[in-house]
Order: sequence, then C-alpha cells, then structure tokens
Amino acid sequence: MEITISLIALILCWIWIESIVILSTINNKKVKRHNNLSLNKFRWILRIIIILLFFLVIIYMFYFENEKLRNSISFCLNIINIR
Amino acid sequence: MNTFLVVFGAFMITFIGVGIGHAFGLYLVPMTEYLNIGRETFGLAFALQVLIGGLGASVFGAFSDKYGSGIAAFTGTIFFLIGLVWFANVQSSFDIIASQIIFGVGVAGTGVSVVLGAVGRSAREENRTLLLGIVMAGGSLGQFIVLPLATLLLEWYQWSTSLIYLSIIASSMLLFALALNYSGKSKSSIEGTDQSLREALAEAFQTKSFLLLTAGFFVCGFHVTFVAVHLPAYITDQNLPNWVGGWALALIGLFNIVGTLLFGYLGDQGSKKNLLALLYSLRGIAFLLFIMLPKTELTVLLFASILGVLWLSTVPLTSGIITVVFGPYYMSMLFGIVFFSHQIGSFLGSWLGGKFFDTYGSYDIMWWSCVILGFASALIHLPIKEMAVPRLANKKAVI
Repeated sequence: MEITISLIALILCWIWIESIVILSTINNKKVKRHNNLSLNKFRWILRIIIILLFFLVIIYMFYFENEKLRNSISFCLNIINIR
Repeated sequence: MNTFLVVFGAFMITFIGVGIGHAFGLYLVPMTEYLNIGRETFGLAFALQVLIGGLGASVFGAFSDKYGSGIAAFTGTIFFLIGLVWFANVQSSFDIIASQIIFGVGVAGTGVSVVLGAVGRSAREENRTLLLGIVMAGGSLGQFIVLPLATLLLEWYQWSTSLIYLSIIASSMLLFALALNYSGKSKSSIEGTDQSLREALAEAFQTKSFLLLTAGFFVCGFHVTFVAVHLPAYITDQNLPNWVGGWALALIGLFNIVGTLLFGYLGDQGSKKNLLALLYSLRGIAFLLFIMLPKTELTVLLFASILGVLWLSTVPLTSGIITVVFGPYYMSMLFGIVFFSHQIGSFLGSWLGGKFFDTYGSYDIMWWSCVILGFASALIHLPIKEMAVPRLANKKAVI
C-alpha cells in the first residue's frame, strides 16, 4: 500500500518535473548557451537517478520497518567482521 | 582535472558533513537518559550550533577567500572533529553545549560557503550552476546514507562508541579538504583582485541585488526548516497512518537530489533570478494547494515530492548569481552573509512553528505565512540585476 501510493506520487511529480523542463527550455531558447551536456542527455540522467533513488528509498523504508531484515543484515555483517 | 578534484572534494565534504550533522537528533534520547538531564539543554545546544554555523559561514568564507578554500576546510574539519569527539565523551550539560559550539564552528568551516566558493572559482561559467547543484546534491545524499548508517551504529554499539566511529568517517574530510586547494589554481584565483575585503563588503551592501538576494534566501530557510521540523507532527495531527511521515521525509530527500541537479542545469541555460522567482512562486502554490486540498496519504506524499524538488534548489542558483554579479573571488564570504539570512529564517521557521502551535493549537498561521512569504520572495527576486557590477564590467571592457 505504502509503495503503491508513493509510486503514484512519484509518477505525478515526475510528470510535473518534465513539464518544468519543457517550459524552461521554451522560455530560455533565445539565451541557450553551448553546454557540454545536452538537454536530452541530462533528462535521461535525471530519469535514471529518479528510478535508482526510488529503489533506494524502498529498501531504506523496508529496512527500517522490518525487524527480520535488520537482524539478518546485522548477522551477515558480523560474519564478515569475524572473518 | 583540477575542477574535477575540487568538485569531488566539495561533494564528499558536503556528503559527510551534512550527513553527520543531521544524525545528531538520534542521540537525544540516549544522551539525555545517560546524563539524566532534560531535553532543553540538548535543544539549546543545537540552536547554538545552528547559529554559530550561520555566523561563522561568512567568517570562514572570508578566510577561505583570503587564504584558500583547502586551508579553510581543513581548519573547519579539525573543529568538526574536536566537537564530535568531545560530544562522544560528554559528562555534563556544559560538555553538550560547549561541544556543539565547537562543532558549529566546524560546520561553518566545512559548510556550503567554503565548498561552494571553491567550486564557483574553479568551474567554467557555462557549467558553474550545474556543478554547484551537484555539490548540494551530495548533502542530500549524505542524509540518505549517513543517517541509516548512524542508526545501525547506534544499534550495534553504545552511543559514545558510535560517535567515535562517525568521527573516524569525518576525519576523511581532512583528505578531501586538500582537494579544495586546487581551486587556488583556477583562473580567477591566479588573476587575483585589487579589491580589499572591506571594499568587497561595502560594494555588496551598496548593491541592491545583493540585499534582495539576502532577503529572498531568508524565506528559503523559513520554509525548509518549518517543514522538516513540524511536518511529521502535522501528519500525525491529521490522523494519517504513521508510515506517511517517514515516506514524506524520504521523498523530500529523493526529490531534493533531483531538484538541485535540475535547477543547477537550468541555471546554466538561462536567467537564474527568473528561475528563483519561478521556484518561490511554485513553493507558494504548493503550500496553497496543500492548505486547500483534503489531507490524504497521496496529497501529503505529492506535496512532499514537489517540495523536495524545490527544497535546496535555491542554493546553486543563489550562489550562481553572486558569482555573476561580484565575480568568484569573494564568493565564499558573500555567500556566507546570504547564508546567515537563511539560518535566521531557519531559526524562526522552527521556533515560530512551535510557538504558534502551542498558542493556537494549529499550524494554520504558519502555513499561510509560508504561502505569503513564497510569493513575496518571488517578487523580491524579479528586480535583481543578473549582471556584473560596474567594477567587473569595466575590467572586462579594458581587457
């Protein structure tokens, strides 16, 4: 439930971000400078970052609400420490 | 290569410094229980840390402009470490307050005014705002990574031991501080300036755009700290499930990274002051819609996501304007002054939120203040002249 609602919020916000990028590009067309990074490339980098971070957030939130997972990570890390 | 090293060093210092700075809240309960004291001492110590961090930003900024960002960040890291190690060995209320004051000095030395100044000096004009945005994204990522790490350390070890481990991580900032020294090899640093520190200050305070920028940045601090401190409690008051508060803060963190990169990139494409005006207007609209709409899980999370995009995106744009108007030489000091106004806003956002809630039993006055201040700040940014002061313009004309 949490993930579904958060995903909907993320998608809506993503659409909003894309529209800001489009609007700003139209607005700034006249003063556009030659940047090393093209807008298209930058948009794809941003999309990948959003997806990666969302997965990170899911793991983060799941971890903090799941005692079992916390204990297993602690156990695994202790084994690594002993070795 | 030099620019890459400076940006990497600045990113890592912001990543570690901001991350550790935000983890202190976790120590409130174990430390107050250990010392058998109330929470007021802890609260006072943090308030002083924030204030010293804000006041010291311009002092360290001036130090950085004069003697180099690397030396300033190195000195700041030493204060940061002394404060942290002292904090790990507190035995009284005095220790908590004194260690946080020293830590505040460290925060000023490793803070945004010093690191952004180094990046501002090293970056080429066409990529400057994006690189400033990347460094700020490091701070958001730090909260993401260091906060759970500190939680783990607290679970596995005693609070004092976990703080010593954080100090070991923080000591790596000494190495990253050295990378900032490469900003001294940038074109602007080599060229130097014939303007004294006092003249730079006088010029800034006589420039209307600088005063407007300082006033506008106050609103950023007010918004950000009010939401960060009081949103979780507000969500609980609305009888929403407990998970909403945690997810809201996580989405703010996620979209903060995206927002600083996005506005950093857009700032290099066009007018930074127009983007700031747009950003503050969007904040005003977001707060207004949040007041009007029913509070459901989706509306709260959507509000958090949108606010996350607009969260610290103001920083690369504001620091970028300072560099355009005054040049990069005294950027650290001038941004430090603007940043102090942000910290005053932060202090008021946090304090007034609690004060109004205790007096009226709701946050309504604060939400409406956020709307009004958002639109006011947008208007404040419109008259800013995003062009070099006559001194720089004349210099360019001569060249």
